[in-house]
Amino acid sequence: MLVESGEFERAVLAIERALMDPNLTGPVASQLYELQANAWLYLGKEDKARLSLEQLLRLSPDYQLAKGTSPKLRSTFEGLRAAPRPVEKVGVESFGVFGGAEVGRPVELRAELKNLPQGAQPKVYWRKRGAGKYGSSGMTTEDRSRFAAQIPAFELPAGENGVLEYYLEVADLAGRRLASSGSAERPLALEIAGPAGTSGPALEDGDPWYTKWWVWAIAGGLAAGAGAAVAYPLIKGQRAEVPITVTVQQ
Amino acid sequence: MRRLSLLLLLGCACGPSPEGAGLEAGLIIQGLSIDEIGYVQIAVLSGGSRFYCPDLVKSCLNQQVKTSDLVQLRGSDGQDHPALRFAADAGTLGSGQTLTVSMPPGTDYLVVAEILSKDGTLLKASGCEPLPQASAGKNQGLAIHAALVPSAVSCNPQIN
Repeated sequence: MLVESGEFERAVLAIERALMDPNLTGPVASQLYELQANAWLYLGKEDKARLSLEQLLRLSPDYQLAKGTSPKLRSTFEGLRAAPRPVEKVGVESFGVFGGAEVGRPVELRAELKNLPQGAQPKVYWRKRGAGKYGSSGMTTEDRSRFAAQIPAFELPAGENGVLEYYLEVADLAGRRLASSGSAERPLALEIAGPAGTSGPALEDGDPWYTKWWVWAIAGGLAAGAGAAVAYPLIKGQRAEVPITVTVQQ
Repeated sequence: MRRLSLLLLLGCACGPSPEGAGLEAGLIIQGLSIDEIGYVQIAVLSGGSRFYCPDLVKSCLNQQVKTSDLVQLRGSDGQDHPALRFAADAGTLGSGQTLTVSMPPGTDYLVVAEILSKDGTLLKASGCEPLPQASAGKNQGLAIHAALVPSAVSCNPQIN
């Protein structure tokens, strides 16, 4: 092991990469966090070692450190277990369809998340309206805040103006739900347009805002893919207008 | 229960406006003279389910949350602000009119309305209401009932 051989900096990088593996299981992740904490401690980064231990405890509150663990690390670990710091809730800043939804083309979903702990994974679920079972896919990311996933074209409703139901769920490696947008019981809905050249889809009134993102991309004359870098700020630029009535109670 | 509606001026989201600040003098709400009320400050918290409304409204919001918790609201000046302050309009007092706040689309918001003193430096009342989803474009209205805060609370509620 890199940690045991003293190559701590390389170990930290390797562990970081391993922790981003979407197929990682909880027990393996817990051990990785322990190794990571050890590596940080040896590198003199006590604050980072503490963060690794916090991640470990969130994932496995009953975790037992390996025998031979340094007394300092063990003491910090037990201290954190006894008095854990409050956890910042994972936030779904945005989630929706990017670049249009049209028969014969995959649908791209994008999400912006905050406070995502290491190891936690966002996953999108979808089904044709009326179908019983959801398909699912993990989301990819470069920076652990912006995520993307594709729903394959063959999963879309075949006829014109069919409706795709979808939702986002973020879970930790133990499978605990941390955040979501929509749910299996109350999915978001997206009307799928006919093939290119036919009239565009008419979204139902009251559909969530994210289902309308693609409209903006097309309105801006931007094709999905090539225009992605330009379209994203356009999507981000949308505003919600909320009427608020304030009363003072007597 | 009788409620006193405060009209919040549409399009006056850039900050207090002296000419719109006057309320009908002499009216008393639970010991609070209405002419002590100057402004309504609106702030929106992201990750709203992290917060507990009954606690938030006991004192100034700015003492209880971080700036990073606040959603940027678009003022009539076209700029984004962590909170917007509106002057109450005496002419429409009690008519239940509504203001419109521009915010980024999102989910799990919590909207906090704080009623500020005439000079804007004291908190007089506060209320909050969850906003589960704000969609792009026009949304359904949200009603917030602000309760008076104890007179012992003397914090400056301004969020700038």
